[in-house]
Amino acid sequence: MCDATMIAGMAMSGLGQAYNSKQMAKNQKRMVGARNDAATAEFGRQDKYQNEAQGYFADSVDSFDKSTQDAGLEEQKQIRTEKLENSLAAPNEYAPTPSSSPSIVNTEIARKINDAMKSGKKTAQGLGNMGAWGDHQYNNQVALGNTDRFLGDVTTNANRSLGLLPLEQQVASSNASKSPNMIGDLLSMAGQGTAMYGMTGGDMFSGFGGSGLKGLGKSSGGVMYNPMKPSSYTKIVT
Amino acid sequence: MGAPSIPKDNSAQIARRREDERKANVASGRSAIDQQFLPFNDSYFGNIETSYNDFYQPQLEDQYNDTRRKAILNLADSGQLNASSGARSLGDLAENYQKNRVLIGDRGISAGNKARADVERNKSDLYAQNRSAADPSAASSSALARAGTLQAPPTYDPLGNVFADFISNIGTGISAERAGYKGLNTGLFNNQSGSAKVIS
Repeated sequence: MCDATMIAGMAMSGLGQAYNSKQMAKNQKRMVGARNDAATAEFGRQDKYQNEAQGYFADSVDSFDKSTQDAGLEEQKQIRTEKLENSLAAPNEYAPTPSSSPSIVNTEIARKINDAMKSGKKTAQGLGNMGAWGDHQYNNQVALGNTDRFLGDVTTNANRSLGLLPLEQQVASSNASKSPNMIGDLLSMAGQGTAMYGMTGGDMFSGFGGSGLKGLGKSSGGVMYNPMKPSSYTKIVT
Repeated sequence: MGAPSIPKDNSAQIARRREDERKANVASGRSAIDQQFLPFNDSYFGNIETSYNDFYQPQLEDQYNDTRRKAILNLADSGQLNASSGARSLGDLAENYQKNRVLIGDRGISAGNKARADVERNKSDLYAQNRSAADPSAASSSALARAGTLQAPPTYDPLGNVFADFISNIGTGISAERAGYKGLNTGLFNNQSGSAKVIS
């Protein structure tokens, strides 16, 4: 039994395990990093959707500013009143009075024509002002409906995009993972073999003039120890 | 000796690409809908208002002319045509006519607004369908079908007798006033106020 060979074997085994642990940690780090990257990319998309939605909302709220609403209502009043005033008929002769009619009759005729036109115009303005409110509210409803539609589209897009995140994280993590190389395992196996060799009395360092690894694996008897094949062991006679 | 290479998983990339395609399809479908509804503009709805007026105003004008003619005959029959009371009565009729013209104009605007609301509602329905289907060609054909329905001519009811009360009352009103009753209250006959009436 050779302590130096055993120690060397155990050291090699430990080194191999340490190497494997380090590789596993690096792999985990890559996988977590990939998951984080996928999440960060998605949060970037969500931020864009949020900004877009906030823009629609801000426009919608701004449209309800009092001055904007007043201007819109005034515009509708003008449009509707103008249309209604255009509905009025042109004044015409309405009483077939003879030329001998007294002046009071003709004056009354002129006054009533004027009254009829004034009354019609007043009705047009009254109806125009009243109906304009409904027109204006309707325009508001249409605008709100459009904003709803835009926000609905943004919400749908955002939800669907977010729904892809778990898959993207899983795939990113999977793709970032690397199969561990065999260096650690080989080192560990070699270390175990060396340790066993040492435990059975083998001395890896003898006969090499202190030259260390020169001629590694060969016993002074000239037979290489195979851990899987114990019969290959040749006891060294010292 | 290296470890066997594992093929890269592209499923997330494929899903993301499909989602981008869906968004593009929705945008494309929205454009198709907007394109189909372009003819439904202010001019289109203005034409509906004009059509409404073109249908109802001539009816009102005919009724007015008819009523005016009958009123003139009634006034002439009662001897009031060449008098201030007759002028006032016919003036009231003209005022009534103008007010009704305005009311018809107002209903014409309402008809245009109703059409506008119908179009907006259909457009909203199509947008919703487009979002669900995410298929621009289907959204476009649906828009075509609805656009065809919207262009169908609206149904109009005939105008009722607007001046019916006026013509039935004017003759009897003037006659009653001349006979000493309140009548149309024109004040032309210088009747004594009060309910007493001396019948000679």
